[in-house]
Order: sequence, then structure tokens, then C-alpha cells
Amino acid sequence: MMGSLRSRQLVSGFTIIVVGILILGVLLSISIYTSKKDTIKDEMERLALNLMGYILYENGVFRTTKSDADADSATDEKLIDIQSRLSVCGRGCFAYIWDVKAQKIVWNSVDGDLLPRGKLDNYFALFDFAALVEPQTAYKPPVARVIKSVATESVPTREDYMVAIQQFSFRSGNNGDSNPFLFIVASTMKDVDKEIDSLIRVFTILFFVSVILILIAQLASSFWVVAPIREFEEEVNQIEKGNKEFIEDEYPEEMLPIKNTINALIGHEKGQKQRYKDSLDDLAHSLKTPLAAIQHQLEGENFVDIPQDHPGLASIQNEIEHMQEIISRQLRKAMVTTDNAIIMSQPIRPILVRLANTMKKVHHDKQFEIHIKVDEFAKCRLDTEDMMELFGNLLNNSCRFCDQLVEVSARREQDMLVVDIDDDGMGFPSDNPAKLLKRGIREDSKTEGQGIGLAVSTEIVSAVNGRIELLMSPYVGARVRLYLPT
Amino acid sequence: MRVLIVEDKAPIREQLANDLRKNGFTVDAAGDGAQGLYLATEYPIDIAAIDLGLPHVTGLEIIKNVRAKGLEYPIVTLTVRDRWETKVEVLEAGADDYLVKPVHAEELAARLRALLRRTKGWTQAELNCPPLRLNLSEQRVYVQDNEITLTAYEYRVLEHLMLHAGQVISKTHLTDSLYEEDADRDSNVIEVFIRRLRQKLDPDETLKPIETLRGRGYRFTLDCQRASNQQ
Repeated sequence: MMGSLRSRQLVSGFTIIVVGILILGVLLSISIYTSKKDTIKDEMERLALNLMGYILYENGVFRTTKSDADADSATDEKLIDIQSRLSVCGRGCFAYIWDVKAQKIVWNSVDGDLLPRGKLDNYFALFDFAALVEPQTAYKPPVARVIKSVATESVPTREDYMVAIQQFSFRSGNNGDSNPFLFIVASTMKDVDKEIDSLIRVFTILFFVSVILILIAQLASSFWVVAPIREFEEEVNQIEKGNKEFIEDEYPEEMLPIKNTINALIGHEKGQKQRYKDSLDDLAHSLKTPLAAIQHQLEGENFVDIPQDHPGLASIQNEIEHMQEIISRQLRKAMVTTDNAIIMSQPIRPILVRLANTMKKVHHDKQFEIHIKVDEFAKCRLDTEDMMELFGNLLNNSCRFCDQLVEVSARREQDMLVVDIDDDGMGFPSDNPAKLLKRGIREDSKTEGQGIGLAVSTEIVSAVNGRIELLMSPYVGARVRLYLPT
Repeated sequence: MRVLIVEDKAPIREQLANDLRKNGFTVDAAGDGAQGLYLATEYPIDIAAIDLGLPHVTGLEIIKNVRAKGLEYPIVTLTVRDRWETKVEVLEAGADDYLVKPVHAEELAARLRALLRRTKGWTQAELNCPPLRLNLSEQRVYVQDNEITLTAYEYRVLEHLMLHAGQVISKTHLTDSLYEEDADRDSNVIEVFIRRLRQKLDPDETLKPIETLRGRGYRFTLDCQRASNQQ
């Protein structure tokens, strides 16, 4: 699966985004929880501090300043405000004073107004007070913290409360015993937990929805990201098929090095071929010229006195001709492009038209017509030089042997281009036309030297995995049928 | 006929020039492209044989230049490269024929003759202007089937006039086509050749094959069958 760029991109992108969302979610809920907790903590501490100011201890009984005659109305209002704040969350928020020695609530924020006296002890959540009592050294402002309640009859489950505790004691009697009291202001954390829970629920839903959306977006984007690679692949295919010469389209910059490398390779391959051809060409031609000069010498005045049938001279002349033959044969062989080269498919019509005009000039003495029944869609994978050579040789033969007509036609047959070159001449000798395709056998010994045209054509055609057939044309003359790769 | 040979290999050039001279041509020879281009465009050339692989200016450029200047004399190219690509390129540039080296002088001479007569509208190797016949390949002349013996120069004058039958050929033109550039010229010689030709071809002065146009030149007057056996 990781072999595909798309799945790599899909998996990596998806993982990063999902993990990112999860981390974000966790951090968010932690920070929300912390800030809520801090808010409650601050509130509890503030309430504890405020409330303390209104509580009086008289005759062993705690009471608020409310019932005092001298209390002003502003104090009253503040107290009411505190009490209403505490009653907002019902049993969840409360303040009471715990008598550590007597193990009971001696005052509470709701007070007896609403509650039956007997139930008071069990009405509020209780805590492990013994553990909360600290040896008193100096006055400390109340500090709120989260404490678990102890299970009681009325509140059997242990729950988290934000509790602000203020410890104080009164010296009672003469023995100096102090009786510690705990002033408790608490608020349940249930609401916060609930809020966080519902937040997590919403977040979970959002998470799954966004995961699905991201997945869809990722899929779409992966197509978009991979699209240039597909295009690239398609273009390379086109080059392989011979429809294009180089990679030309615009690609993202990450792909430019590959594009340039491939183009450079193609160019190198072509250049290599061209250099190989050129150097062979130069070698052959530089050999041919001195050979021609030698031949001229032999025919010239310096050898006038030597009889033409002089054995030495004749054999030198034979050898020279032989060498010339070899050179042109090897040269032609080297010129033929091999099939592994990257060749672009190109239309044959322009070349046929040029050749037809040339043939008219070459065979000027003859009255004949060349019909080219080939449209511009007839293409094959041959390089221009080879195509020119192939059709040049075949057309030249046809023009030489025709009576009045040469006709070229082409059609597609599966993935081959089939080209027929017909003439109305004498046709091929019927005993063994295939023999003509072999190098060196000349169809027409009276012509000057280049009788290996058919053999060269065969070489060119077979080098590109094509085929050549010698048939009879509908005009009774010869038909050369070529199967060329498209 | 005045032929220009442009070939950079001296032995081949000399050999071809000598052989063509023996075949009745007047030969100008150039050893490189620049000189060849100069001769080809500035001299009264009747036909040219140009090698393709030349130093300085290539054969192809010479051909293109000649055609660009509107000169229409036939050109044969000589080359060792016998790919069709080269042939097509050269013929498209304006060359009329193509010979692959090694070139035999006889073959070149025959091609040159054929091209010359072809471009003058003759389709056969024999110029037939009854009762006169001139065989280009054998270089023989007949009147009423009787062979007339001519000197090389007389033959050349007659050949030139017959190839251009009906056209007025100036004395200078005739001189140019007979003599190479560095030869001693004497225009009176042409008059002598014409007089001798008239005596040999038309001793009783009934045919009057060559007309003198005072101050302009000469014209071959007999009706010729240029396209006699044409298909």
C-alpha cells in the first residue's frame, strides 16, 4: 500500500490532522476544566472570606449579623447576595461551621429556615474533618481545594467538592482548652464535570464529522496532488509510442529535475545516435573520395600505355570496386536506425510529396505519373532520414520500372501502417521475388550501381520491426507492401 | 558547350576536365566553393557539374545562389553521399541531376549532354532538323544520311546553334562557349567556322541552315523535330 504515492500522502496527511485534532481537543478540555475550577476556587475563597465577616459567636451559638438591630441594610444586602449565591446550586453549594469536637454542624448558610432541624446533619455533604484540622500557628486566609466528600446516609456517593476551609477556635472556660471549628464553604464540582462531559461529547461528534470531511478532502486533494504525476506518466507513454519527442508540459517544480533528466537522456540518446552516424558517415566518405581518386588515376593518362586487360590493373580495379561496395553497404547498414531508439511517429505524406517531385526530375526522360493517395493522418515511427531512404529507394524502383503510373496508398491495420507502392510495369519475376529482398542481388543489373535499394529497404523496415512484401499490383505491375509501426 | 566543374580534389577535377575536353566540351574548373560560386554566377556557363562537399562555400549554396540569381542552366551534382535525403535536398534546391562518385567521365559527359538537350526541349539524343541530323552521343552530323566530316570546333559551333535552333546566338556567346577563359580569342575565327560549316553542309546554297543577322549574331533556321518520338 505504501508503494503508492497517493496512499502515502493520504495516510500521512490524515494521521497528522487526526492526531492534531485529538491533541487540540484534549488541551482544550483541560484548559476549560482548569479555568472553570479556578473560577470556582476563587469564588469559594472569596465567599468564605466575606461570609466570615458576618458570623457572630455569642453564647456558644453562631449566628449571622442579620438579626442584629444595628446591622445596616447594606450589610444585609451583601449577606442576602451571598446566601442567594450559595442557594443557586441547591444542595451543591453551601456553607457551614463544623464543630470538630461535637462532630456536628453548628451553623449553616441555609439555617433552619428551610430545613427541618433533625435532618440538618445529613443534609449537607460531609468531609473527613479530622484530617482537615491543622495545628494552628497563625492566621491563614481560606484556601480552596478539591476534596472528596465522605459517604453519609443522605449523600451515599462520594463526590468532588471545591472546598474553602477556615479553621478557628474559641478559648472556652478557664482551662484554656480550645475547641476547634471548621468553617466550610463548598461547591460541588459535578456541574463542571457535567459541562466538561458534554463538551467532550460535542467534541467527539465534531471530531468524527471532521474526520470524515478531512478524509473526503484528502482523497480529493490526493488526486489533485498526484495529477501531474499521472500527466507525466501519460507523456512518457506518448514518447514511447512515438507521438512526442520530448516532455514538454509544465510540471510542479518538484518534478522538474525528473523532467529535465529524462529530456536530457532522450537528447543524449539522439545525440549519441547522430554522432555515431556522423562519424561513420565521415569515415566512409573520407575513404570513398581517395578510392574515387585512385580509380580516376587508373582511367587517366598515366595508365594509357597499359592495356585495359592487364591482369594487375584489372585486379586493382576489381578490388577498388569491391571496397566501394563494402563501404556503401556498411554505411547503409550503420545508417539504419535501430528499434530501441526513441523515434517520433510522423506523417509520411510530406516526404512522399517531396520524393514524388524529385522523382519527376530524376526520371525526366520518362512520361509517367505518381499518385499519392495518402492522407496526413498516415503516420509511422521512422526517423526522417530512414523514411526518406526507404520510400526514396522504393519509389525510385517503381518509377524506373513503371510504364506510366506509380501509385502510393496507405491505410491503418491494427497498430501498423500498411503502405502499398504500385506500378504498372513488368512486376517482379514470379519464380522467387523474396530473393530480391536479400542484399546484393540486383533487380536490374543495367542500372548504375545502386541495385541494392530493395535490400536496404528491407533492412530499414526490419530494424523497426516492420515487414515488407512483394506482391502483384492491381495495375499488373509490382506492388511493394510495407508494414510499418505507428 | 561550356561546362563548369567545381571539385576540390585536384586529381579528380583534372581528370574530369581533361575527359570532358576530349568529349568536346569547353571546361572551366574551380577548386573551391568560393571560386566555383564566382564562375557559376559571373561566367557564361552552359552547364555545371558541382561537387557537394566543398570548402568555404558548399555545393548546395552555390546551386541556391545560382538559382536565386535567375540563372537557369542545368546543374549536375557530384557527391559521395548517396542518401535520398541528400538527393532530395539537392534536387529541391535547383539541381537537375545527381551523380554518385566515383564518376566516370563518359557517364558525366553523357548526363551533361542529355541534360543540355533536355533543357533546350530536345527529347532525343539525335537532333533532327531535316535534312540535317546531329547525333549528340556519337558527335556525328548527317545531311540526307550522308555523314559530313567536321573538325572539333566546327562540330561544337554547329551543336550549339542546333541546340538553340531558332534563337539568335551572338558571336560573343559562341566564342564563350568554345573557348576557355584563358584561351586566346579571336572573334574572326567564328566567322571562319561559320563559313566552313555553310560550305560543308550546304555546298550548293539551297538549304541556308545558318542565317547571319548583322550586328546580332547567327541563327539556325531549319525546322527541327524536337519532340518527335515523345510518348
